[in-house]
Amino acid sequence: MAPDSSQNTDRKVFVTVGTTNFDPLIKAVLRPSVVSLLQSQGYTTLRVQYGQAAELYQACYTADLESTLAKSSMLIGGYAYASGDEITQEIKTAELVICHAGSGTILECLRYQKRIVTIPNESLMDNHQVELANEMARQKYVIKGDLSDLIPAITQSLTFKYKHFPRQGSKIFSEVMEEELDQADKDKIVPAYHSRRRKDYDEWIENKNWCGCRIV
Amino acid sequence: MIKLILVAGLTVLVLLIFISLRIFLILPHRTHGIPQTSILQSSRIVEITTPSKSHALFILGSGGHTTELFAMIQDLSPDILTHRTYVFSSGDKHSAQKARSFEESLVGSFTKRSNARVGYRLVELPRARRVKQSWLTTPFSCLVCLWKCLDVLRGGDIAGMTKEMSKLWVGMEFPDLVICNGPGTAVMVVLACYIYKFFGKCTTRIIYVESFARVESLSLSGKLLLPLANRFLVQWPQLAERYPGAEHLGFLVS
Repeated sequence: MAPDSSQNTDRKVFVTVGTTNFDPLIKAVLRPSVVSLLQSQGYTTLRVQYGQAAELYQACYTADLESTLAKSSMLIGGYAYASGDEITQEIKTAELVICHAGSGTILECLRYQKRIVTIPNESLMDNHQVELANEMARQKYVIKGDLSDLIPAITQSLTFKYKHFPRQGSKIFSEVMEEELDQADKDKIVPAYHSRRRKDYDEWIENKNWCGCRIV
Repeated sequence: MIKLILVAGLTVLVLLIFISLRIFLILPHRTHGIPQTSILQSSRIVEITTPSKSHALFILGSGGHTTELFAMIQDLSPDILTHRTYVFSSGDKHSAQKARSFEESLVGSFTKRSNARVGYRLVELPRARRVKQSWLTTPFSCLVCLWKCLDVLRGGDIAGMTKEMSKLWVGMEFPDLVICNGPGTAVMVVLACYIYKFFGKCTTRIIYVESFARVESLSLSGKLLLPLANRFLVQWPQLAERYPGAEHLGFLVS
């Protein structure tokens, strides 16, 4: 996916922690080594949705990071939360998304076929982010990153062959619903047919635009 | 005295047998691996055309569940599913808003003019258990929730609609389908459904879809609803292997 320099000069990395707290991810991304790797890969913008970690986000601007940033024109911006539509917009315009392994965020990224590096948030109670991240990574829909060192995952993301997420889910579900609707109608006939009041049955047929029984 | 106890005991026994037989009769009997529709392909069976009206009830949960549900039904044809009811937990404005915008997005896709007039119902349900609620008061709030569920299922709110709307909804009170994907409220709605089924009031079929986030094990509501749902769909093959009765048809959330 070579960037078209004439049109697409803005190459964005989007980092999101969703509505949860995930401070280690912010820390891991804003390391000077990680930021300079992103710079060397040609990204021009880094956007961070940091949730409640505003102080931490400020604290990450160390002298090291400042000097790394001074070397090139990479822009870093951050904000606490955004509405669903705004997040969608961010994901749409980004090239690489580094995110927690929440199912909503991952699905959104897959919908727009983005390069995804996902890091499960293991501190959440009764959460299955690890399972989901492992399985998605095993099937090559995403790359699973390691909090202690994001560099291998980000390096890999440039050349990784991401598998396309199947898009026909909603069609399958519509078919299931139609099957069940048919079944529900068949269930309705039986009690009506056996009903002592034959009238009910006749009424049912009339009201339901029933085309009549046909022996197959 | 002994006679009396004996008679009472027998009566209770007969009642119990009757009740358990009735429950057995209304519980879904899934044929594993064979699609439901194939039952009807044997000889001397009637062929049915889809009726012109049908009613589905969607249970909206908190953020993630609602997003997944609307992703699943984005291909829904309003001509097939003419009447739609959405229930959401009290205070969940976000889900209610999503339902409204989904209905607005449907507007262009009606091909039968009559369906556009049916509209949809959006009903608020009290929560069965609020976050951090004491376990002592939980049974009461569950009962309140169940009572409201019973009311919604029999179309209690239809009387309060405008004349035009209620005219279109009369006769369509009980849903043909209940579709849920995980929130706790779903258990109460399904329970209410079974109460009506017990008395032969409705033939509602229940479709449960486990969340995409569940890879290795079912959620609590999933475990509770596994024997009660007519179709139990999971999105990861591991789950279908682990829990008999669960069906894997691929990812549904795209």
